[in-house]
Amino acid sequence: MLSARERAQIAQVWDLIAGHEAQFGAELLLRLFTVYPSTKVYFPHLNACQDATQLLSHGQRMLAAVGAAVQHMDHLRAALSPLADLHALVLRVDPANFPLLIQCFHVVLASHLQDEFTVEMQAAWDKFLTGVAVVLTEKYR
Amino acid sequence: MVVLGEMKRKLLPLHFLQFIRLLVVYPWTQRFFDSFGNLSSASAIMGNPKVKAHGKKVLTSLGDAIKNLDDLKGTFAQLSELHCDKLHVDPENFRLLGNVLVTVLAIHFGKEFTPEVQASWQKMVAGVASALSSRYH
Repeated sequence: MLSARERAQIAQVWDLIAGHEAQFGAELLLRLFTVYPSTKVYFPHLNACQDATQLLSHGQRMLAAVGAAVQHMDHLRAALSPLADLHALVLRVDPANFPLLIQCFHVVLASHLQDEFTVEMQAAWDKFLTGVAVVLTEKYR
Repeated sequence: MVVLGEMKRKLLPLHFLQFIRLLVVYPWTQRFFDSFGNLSSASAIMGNPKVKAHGKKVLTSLGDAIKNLDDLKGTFAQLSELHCDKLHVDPENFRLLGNVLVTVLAIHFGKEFTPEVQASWQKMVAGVASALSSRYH
């Protein structure tokens, strides 16, 4: 359950990302593939780090989904249901990978926002993204 | 490994003490610090003198790690036994701490904290976590 303060922190950070979903998303994916190379197995079509256009396009898609989650923080299950189906039936990304993506998300935020990335923002975003990951993997079995 | 090189020349700067964010971001890690006094809010935690003192101890240890990257298991053998036998710390906490430290480094280094630099640091903290759990039984 997110407190009012946490919701505000989450929205505040999203305001800084909004409009830059493609760049943020591309950097997120680049970090994921560089730091945790095993995650590339889930993106054979992306040709990993070699095609910036594809990274931007897929990054845009992923961050747009995060944006949707931010808009529907209070009813994530309903809002993310189609994505949850996709992950359960088609993508089947092992749940252990979500914390890796979340760590890279924190690093993108931290390196761009620097001192503006307060401890409370970090705590709120970790809680929020973990909640999103739970919803996305909930239908696995 | 420019960043690590800089680090080798001096102890990890005290502003990296920010990794005590761990106690705020993952509050269950506070379980080891019941005797540390006021941990009731983010600002209480970040300003708590006992937390900061303990953080300095941990940072010094990490500084040792950086000087001995070729023998992390040897460097941390005794600390590993201590964390298992006396402190009873779940090794998962070492991974969480390492991850928070990496985010603190990203805050400090900004754009210089490239994916490659991140990868080096994640590898190092993973090595430390692994060395710290190596004597668990």
